[in-house]
Amino acid sequence: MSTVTLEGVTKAFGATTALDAVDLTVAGGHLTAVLGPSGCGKTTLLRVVAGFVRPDAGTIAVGGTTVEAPGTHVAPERRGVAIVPQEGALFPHLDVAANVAFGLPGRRRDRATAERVEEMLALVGLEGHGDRRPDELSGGQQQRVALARALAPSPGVVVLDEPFSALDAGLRTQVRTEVRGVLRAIGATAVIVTHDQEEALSMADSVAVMDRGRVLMHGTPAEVYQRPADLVVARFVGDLVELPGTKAGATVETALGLLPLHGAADVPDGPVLAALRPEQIRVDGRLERHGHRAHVDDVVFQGHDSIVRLTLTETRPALRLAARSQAPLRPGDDVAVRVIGPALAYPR
Amino acid sequence: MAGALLALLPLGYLVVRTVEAGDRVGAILARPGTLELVGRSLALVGTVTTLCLVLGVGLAALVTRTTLPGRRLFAVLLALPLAVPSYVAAFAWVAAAPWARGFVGATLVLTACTYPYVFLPVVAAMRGVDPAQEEVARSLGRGPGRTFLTVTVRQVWPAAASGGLLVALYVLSDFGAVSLLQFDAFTRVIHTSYRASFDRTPAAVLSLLLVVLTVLIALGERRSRGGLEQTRVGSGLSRRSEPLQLGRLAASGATAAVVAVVGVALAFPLASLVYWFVTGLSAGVDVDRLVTSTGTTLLLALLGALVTMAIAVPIGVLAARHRSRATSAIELGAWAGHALPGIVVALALVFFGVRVAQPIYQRTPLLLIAYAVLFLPAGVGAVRASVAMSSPRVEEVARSLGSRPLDVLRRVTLPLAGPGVAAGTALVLLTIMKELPATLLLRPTGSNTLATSLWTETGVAAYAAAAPYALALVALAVAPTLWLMHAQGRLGESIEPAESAESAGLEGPAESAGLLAPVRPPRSHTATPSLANVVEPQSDPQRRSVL
Repeated sequence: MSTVTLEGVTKAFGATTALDAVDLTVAGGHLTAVLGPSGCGKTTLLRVVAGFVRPDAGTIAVGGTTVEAPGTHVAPERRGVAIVPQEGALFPHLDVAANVAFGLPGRRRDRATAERVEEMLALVGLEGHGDRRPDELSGGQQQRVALARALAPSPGVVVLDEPFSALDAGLRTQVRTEVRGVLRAIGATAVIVTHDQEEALSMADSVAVMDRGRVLMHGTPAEVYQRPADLVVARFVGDLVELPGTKAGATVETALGLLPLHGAADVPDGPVLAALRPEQIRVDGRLERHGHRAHVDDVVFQGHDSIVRLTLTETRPALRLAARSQAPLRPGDDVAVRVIGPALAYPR
Repeated sequence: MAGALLALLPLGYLVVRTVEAGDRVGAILARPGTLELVGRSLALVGTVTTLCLVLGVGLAALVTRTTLPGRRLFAVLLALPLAVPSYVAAFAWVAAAPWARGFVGATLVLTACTYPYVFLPVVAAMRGVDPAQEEVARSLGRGPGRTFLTVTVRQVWPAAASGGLLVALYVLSDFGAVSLLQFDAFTRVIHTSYRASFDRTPAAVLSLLLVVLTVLIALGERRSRGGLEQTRVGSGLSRRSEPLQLGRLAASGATAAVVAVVGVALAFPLASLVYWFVTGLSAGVDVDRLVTSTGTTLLLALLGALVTMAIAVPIGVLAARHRSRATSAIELGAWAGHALPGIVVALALVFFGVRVAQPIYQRTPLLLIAYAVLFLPAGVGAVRASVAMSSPRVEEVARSLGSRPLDVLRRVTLPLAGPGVAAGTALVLLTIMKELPATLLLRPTGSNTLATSLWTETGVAAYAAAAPYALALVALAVAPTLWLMHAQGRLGESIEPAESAESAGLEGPAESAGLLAPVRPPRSHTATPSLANVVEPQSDPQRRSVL
């Protein structure tokens, strides 16, 4: 249960800056997701923490021990940082039990080793699978073995590199929940790298959003989703409805009326971009209710609700926005929309 | 590092010789004969390598990717010419077909002897290829022929190119065959000039020129391989591809072609040897000498292979995992050693033995050093290729679980590379058994191998007396050749269409066949006894686990 601290970590590959003075603290026992688009440097961040890539500058401490600093480089095997790579990367020449036992100090046949292996397999729900070969397991099982293997030696930190991207959608949610449960159960400090915002928001205790080698924001999933630090973060962690507006104090005037703002945002009064989440837009089929008139362009049915694409008919030029709704709407319907809750404001 | 230095020892000798010669170097290089010699040798190398690439890739595709009748048997037979030393084949042709001399004869014999260097790795590579790329190409409207040429051949090109490099280096440094076939290639001219006088300078200068040519060829191969290096990402479990259904006409055409290759490369030389053996039987066979020669051959080959692989493993692992200028140089140094004709390495080591290492001169250690210098590339190539096949991620996991780099090597890298390292060992063993000139000059005083006995008898034109040694040599070389084929990709496996279709249709475990086949074949393939299983019993995992 080690805290991981990165300070000013910088790494460039040729002309490409993968990490640009990254500061990040992962609290002990927390599950932190590093979220960002492909090529944002998140995998490099993970490999730097694990010790496979030496940064050009900056310091890294794991559990209070400096593992990376100018003139200091602790070898990966002495960091206590276990890695779960994409697709598991099980040792194909070893059976499941030997895979899990790989990082344990004792010999394969020792009682303590065997017990620990069984314990770990039970933890990931694979009791009795010890003598299987990796190729006899499904993708989800391979991933869970990889996790058991990483956790068996009780590492201070576990890092997971897009561990669920190779799994199909249904399995992904299930394995994700299982893995989260396992990590919670043993209170491990875990860093999971992902480009899937849903995964990051649903699994992690805290989310660090990265773009172009920099950490743009680090906070709880709710903070990251509801109070994104800037427009890039806001756009990345979920769908966004953007409305031009004029800020005055704690409110913003937009095409959807005068909206309250989250706090008094440090944006100066004047022209701003007001931002809302689609679920803040309420769509009502009955026009007489007070609200803003809109025209339904498109409805994407998603099961639990629908994404409705609308055009506001009152404004010139016409303004398009998206909403979530459970109402049975069809393209061509005329509706009334109103806003629930406060908006965000960003410099225009 | 030590390995590369060892490989550079003979090179150093050549450089010292050349520098001592001073002004005469220019005069030797400027001779009209020198340019002609370069042209002649390059023509032979180019022709043989091209033929080997075409034959090797084409035949590999026939036995792995089509429904060619009898492809399992052919897969075994087509690899067997590897067991026929080129000078034995040359001797068989010269004794039976007087027209097979000069450029034509040398091309014929060397192609027939060396195409397996391309065939074997390409067979293994074709079986490891992910069919998804081919399927994409087909779905984008490319026909099977164009898909094969533009996708499949590209995928197996690294394997084919390193095989082709072995062929080119073999042809450049072959001494026995070109001498017997009276084709004035570099080695023969160098040898003649050594023999002609005590002045060894022209020979040293020509040898150095030969080394330069080799380095150029090796650089060309590296270039052609450059962007295509196949490092697996992720666990990369893939399916097998569907074999191409051959029509009746295509099948008979292909069968005829394969039979012709087997006939030229295997049946004819063997028939010629057997003829001379039978002719000689009436005169009696020296059984004692045959037995001791065989024992010496085996012992020297085993020791040589062990020494060579001990040096090759670290170089191969470094070359596969750390692409830096230093490792490239080390690797290139090892290749350069291979390009030196055996006779030059031998004479360089004679010089070294007499001047520096008197205690081991004309004893086993010096001969083993010669073998190591000569056959490092074969070992390094096999180790490098098999290490590159497994994902570096797997090694990183091992590091993150607390294993130090050397432990990772012992516990992960080498077990995964095991089949490839075994193949490299077999290849080295085989090549040492066939080696002639270095053994001839450096063998421990008084001992004889099959190759040297054969040479001695051939030297006095006693073809009938030479035949038993030639046959014994071929028979001995068959075992490591089969092992090599087994390790290189279990030729008999996956060729059966029913099995391929089955594994292609299965979800889950069968999907892994592509990656794990070299380590442990999937169970679905072991139910049907295949030729490979019959020939090589240990290829059956269930039997292995019983043992």
